[in-house]
Amino acid sequence: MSKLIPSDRLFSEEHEWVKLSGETAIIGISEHAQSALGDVVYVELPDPGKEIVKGKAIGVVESVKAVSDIYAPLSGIVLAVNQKVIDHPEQINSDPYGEGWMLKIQVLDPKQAQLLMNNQAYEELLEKEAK
Amino acid sequence: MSIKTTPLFQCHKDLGAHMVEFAGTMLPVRYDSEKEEHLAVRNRVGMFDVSHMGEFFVNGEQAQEFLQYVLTNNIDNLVPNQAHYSLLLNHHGGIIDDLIVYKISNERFLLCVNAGNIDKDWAWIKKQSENFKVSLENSSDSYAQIALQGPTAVDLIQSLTPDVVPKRFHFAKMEIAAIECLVARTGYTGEDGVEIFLANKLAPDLWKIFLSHDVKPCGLAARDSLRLEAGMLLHGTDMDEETSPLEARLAFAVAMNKNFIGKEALINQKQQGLKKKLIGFKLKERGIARHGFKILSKNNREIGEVTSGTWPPNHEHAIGLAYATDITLNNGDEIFVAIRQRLSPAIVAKPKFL
Repeated sequence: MSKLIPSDRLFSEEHEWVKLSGETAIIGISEHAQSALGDVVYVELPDPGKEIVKGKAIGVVESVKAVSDIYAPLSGIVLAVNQKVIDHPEQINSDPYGEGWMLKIQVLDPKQAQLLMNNQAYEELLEKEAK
Repeated sequence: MSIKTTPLFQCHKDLGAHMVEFAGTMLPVRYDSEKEEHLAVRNRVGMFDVSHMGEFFVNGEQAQEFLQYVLTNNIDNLVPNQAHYSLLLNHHGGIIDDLIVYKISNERFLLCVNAGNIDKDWAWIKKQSENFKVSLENSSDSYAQIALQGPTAVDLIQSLTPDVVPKRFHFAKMEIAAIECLVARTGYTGEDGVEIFLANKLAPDLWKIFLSHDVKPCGLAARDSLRLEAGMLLHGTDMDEETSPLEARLAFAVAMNKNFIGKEALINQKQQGLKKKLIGFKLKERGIARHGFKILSKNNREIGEVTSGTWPPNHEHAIGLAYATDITLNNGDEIFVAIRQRLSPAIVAKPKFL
């Protein structure tokens, strides 16, 4: 399991991942989240320029059976949206940590990242949820 | 109420299925990809554990007469080993359940009912049967059921049996790979195929035989997208006791030339005109219209609600079913579906999307 969870990023309790690079961050959903959803057929994401607030719903990801909100793991300003996942939402299933990324944001409060989990803590969360 | 499992529970676990509770039973929602499962049924063959479905036997010299009164379709049209779709109505013409009735003989019938309705169907049928010489058996917990569906399903069954696979809407007792079953040429996917009733303890063996023949195991997600694409309704979602067969476009299963419970109400409804009608629709943009979402006319007037929506593979956009209070809507007319904060344009379409 641990080899599936990359160590170069942080995770939220709502199963989003965050890859920080200076004051920007890339956001997506985890392997576990995509697997729980099933084949993703639709994604709704905020437009560039929009401000997002940590913990608030910023979009949805839908499979035929499930609708799941996407929550902002950090507060920030949307810099870019991955148009490829909007056009081909199945990329979220096939490559959640790579081609399936969703947003790039300007981070407003870098200290918020301290509240996120590293890959080991996230793995423990998944083990706990599986029980 | 405790949650049940089916005799195939361990088989699903072994395959790593994602399990959910549906109508009081733990069932696989999907094994891996519901899209692949959907396509397997359309292009080859898939199988479903439908052991949760209810099975009632109706026996006795007045069995046929009783079912003629309690069900909407004309049971006199059936010969032994033949089956058809029928409805159980209340006195107001509302749909208590939809079911398949199998005529075994003039004095023995099998009803296959929806899992979520087993208890209320049983209570209703039991009560209505008081003045008839019939005996009823609720055998829902004794039978497993596997649905084998897809263009190659019948060829596969035929290769595993010395018996002849029955014609469409017929059934027969058969041995499949030496396992004794009741095989019905029916289904809920819009494809050719069979639904196989068998004793609980035999089900895992048959399931494994099908697996060894490369049959794709399919879950509830694919079952729902397949039935909706084929324009088949789901009781409790697309119709209920507040819906009549006329509103639900199920008049084909109602024989008005005989007496049955609910007939008076349907006659009245016909005379007064329908207040709502089932429509199909196709979205013109991305997104999925879900159960309960409002539909609006072109001039933004609320005219009804979505009952089912999905986005099947190979469709440009999502499809769905809704009830519209504007019964003058025609195929091709434009409507809107309120998807969260947005009005998504849609086109009214025949509720059959294959």
